[in-house]
Amino acid sequence: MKELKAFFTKTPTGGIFLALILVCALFSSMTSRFLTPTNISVILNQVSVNAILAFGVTFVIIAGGIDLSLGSLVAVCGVVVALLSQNNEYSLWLAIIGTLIAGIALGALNGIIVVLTKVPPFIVTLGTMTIGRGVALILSKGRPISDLNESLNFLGNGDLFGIPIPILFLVLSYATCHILLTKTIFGRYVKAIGGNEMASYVAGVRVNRIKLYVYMISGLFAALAGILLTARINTGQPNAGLGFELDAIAAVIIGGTSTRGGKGTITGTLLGVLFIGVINNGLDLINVSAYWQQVIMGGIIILAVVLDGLYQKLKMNI
Amino acid sequence: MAEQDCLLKIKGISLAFSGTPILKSVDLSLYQGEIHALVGENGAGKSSLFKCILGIISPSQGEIIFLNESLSGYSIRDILRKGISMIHQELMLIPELTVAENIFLGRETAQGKRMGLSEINQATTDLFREYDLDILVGAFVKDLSIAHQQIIEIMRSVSQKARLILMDEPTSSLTEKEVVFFRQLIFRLKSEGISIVFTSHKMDEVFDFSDKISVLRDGEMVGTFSKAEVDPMSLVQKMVGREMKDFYPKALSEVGQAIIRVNDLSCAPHFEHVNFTLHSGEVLGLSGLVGAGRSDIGQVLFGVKKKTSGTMQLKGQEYNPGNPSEALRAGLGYLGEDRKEMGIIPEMNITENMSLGLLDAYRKFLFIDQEKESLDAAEMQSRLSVHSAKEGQRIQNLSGGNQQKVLFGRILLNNPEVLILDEPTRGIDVMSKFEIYTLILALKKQGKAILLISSDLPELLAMSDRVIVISKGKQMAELSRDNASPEKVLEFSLH
Repeated sequence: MKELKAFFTKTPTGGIFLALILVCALFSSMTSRFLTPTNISVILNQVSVNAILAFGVTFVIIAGGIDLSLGSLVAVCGVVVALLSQNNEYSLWLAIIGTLIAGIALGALNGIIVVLTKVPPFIVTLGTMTIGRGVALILSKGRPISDLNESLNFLGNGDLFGIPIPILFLVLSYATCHILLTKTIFGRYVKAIGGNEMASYVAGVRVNRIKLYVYMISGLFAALAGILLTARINTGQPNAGLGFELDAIAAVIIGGTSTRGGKGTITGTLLGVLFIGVINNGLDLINVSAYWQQVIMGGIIILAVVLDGLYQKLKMNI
Repeated sequence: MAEQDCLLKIKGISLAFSGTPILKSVDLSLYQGEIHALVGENGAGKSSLFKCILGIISPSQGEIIFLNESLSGYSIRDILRKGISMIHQELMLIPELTVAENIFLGRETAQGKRMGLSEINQATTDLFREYDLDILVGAFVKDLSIAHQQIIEIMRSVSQKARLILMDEPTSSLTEKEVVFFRQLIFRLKSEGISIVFTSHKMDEVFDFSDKISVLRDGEMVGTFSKAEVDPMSLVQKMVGREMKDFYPKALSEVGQAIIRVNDLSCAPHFEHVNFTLHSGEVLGLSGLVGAGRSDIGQVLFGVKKKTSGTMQLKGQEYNPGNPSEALRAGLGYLGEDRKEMGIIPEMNITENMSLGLLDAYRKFLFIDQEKESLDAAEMQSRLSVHSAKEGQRIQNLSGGNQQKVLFGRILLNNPEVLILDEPTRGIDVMSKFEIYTLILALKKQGKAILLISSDLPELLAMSDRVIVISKGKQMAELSRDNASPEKVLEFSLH
């Protein structure tokens, strides 16, 4: 009991975890179709793309930046992997590695512009968001790309030991990002520059390098998300990923990462992603119209952040 | 003068921040049409006194009476309406608005009716004509010189019917010619019965402008003097003349060989043509007013700022760090002037703050050897006696003195040969100050070369083997320990 109380009050993610449990309890009391193994697998599969994007952008946000180009990067990388795996021209591995490199390079472009020009990342990535969308349309000539490698389809829709592949990617990405943020020098310095950039610089942290790396990570995970999305729908869509950046950023913020930078966790982001996913899924199950779902979702995001603020204050007094 | 002429009467106001007294029972009387200089060292309490008068902070004790009415309980806005305004050192104008719009900002309604742009412009033109000012009322403030911007602020106060204008170092960014005009303007205001209180570090202006001079020292009012009662020398003595006693531990040690040589170093526009040599086992003091360029010298040495010309040598080798990381690896340590801005990561704990920038020493493949890291930090924490309530406490919850000791720990973990310490004891309690002095002298004994930058003159003089005085970016003098007196240093820094 004591440990339980400590978990909810001491860990930064306790609040959102509590909220997630409450929402799950609410939906399972409303419909018997919610808490079933199949539905849980469906939820995890549905959230995998958003989760992978959100993990990557968590680094950017903790470092005090923002990446609005995510959705467009998903589209560009989705188109790239489709082009590379069309008509079995190249091997699947080559297509995947090539796409991941493209994602890192596009992330690096964001990072280089942010570091060199000192223009706020909001503006820079707003620009590259539009550029990225254009590039996706240019590369695909504005048309969906089909006739993809069979094994790519397996990545999006297949399973290993009964677990859908996208869920495996979600778990793998979570573990990698969590370790990267909490155990490595890089992770420590990401938090440091988000907490106080000038102090970090004076202490000898290579601030520009770290900033560049966080955007590269964001690009890498956007590429992975793009590959999974293309694999799932078996086509490269230049219009894919519209608005994905907002879902990812919302999940990060709901997960307790400060928009001012300096603090945040990957576990929090995962809980934020699940929170959004569960609500979407639950509202579907109880037959709320898609229009109303958006209204409810927006309200919940604001409510979650407000409640988290109150909860953090309350926690101080426990 | 008769009591009814008294415009402002301050009776015994005291103020403390988290236990540190800032103002101690300060009294001050000010008469109508008087120009009053308020002098004192940095941190003597001048700006706090201004803030009390303006109602920005309320004193814990005492009373401020303006026009025979107590100001306690009034808001900043109320006090402004009663006729007290302030010209801050950083001017508070909106650059994208015109001169006239700035003057009438927030007061576009006159006698209940809204003033249009043409009325504002007309009113401003009339005001400027009255004061013989040649400034376009339609110009954007961003296109004006600092001097003109300051005049706009003063005219805004005048148009608000201010009876008392407080000015914080009004001449600090004016050229000599502009100061002449400024002088005319304040004498004109005086002739209209407006009172002015200003702060300045420039003795000639203090004596030229003012009717009365009040001296603050360590939050205490030393006294108010007429010009006949004091001369610049005796005034400076009143400003600095505190007893030094044995607050500063003494340790004389042999000064070793030259570690750092600085030749004709410039960093435009902060400082130019600076020359000095820093030896091992030596504390070299850099003195000067805030903004004189002394902090910038430390920052260039540590790679925070880039030099514009000149050379630096480290142990005979050409030395020009591209960033702090390079300086760190070359064996320098740096403590920034502003702990909050350049020192701590507030959300991180003591260990994480100490090892910041030094994690390569704890690298295990990609990971941090957290065990070794905590061990080293804990050892440093006990060596510097950093007091924390609980393990893993965030540094933002520590006292200023303990935060500063953590930052010293960060420097010492890297075991540097050269330490650049900018205001190492600013805003910390007396006990921590003493501990830091003892630490500095221990490091000196170990043969470290220490560049000490401080606004606290007694501290600087007691700790330094030599003192270099910087004024307006120029090296004015180099004084040996025996030669350096507070009066001499201040005289050079006010030059």
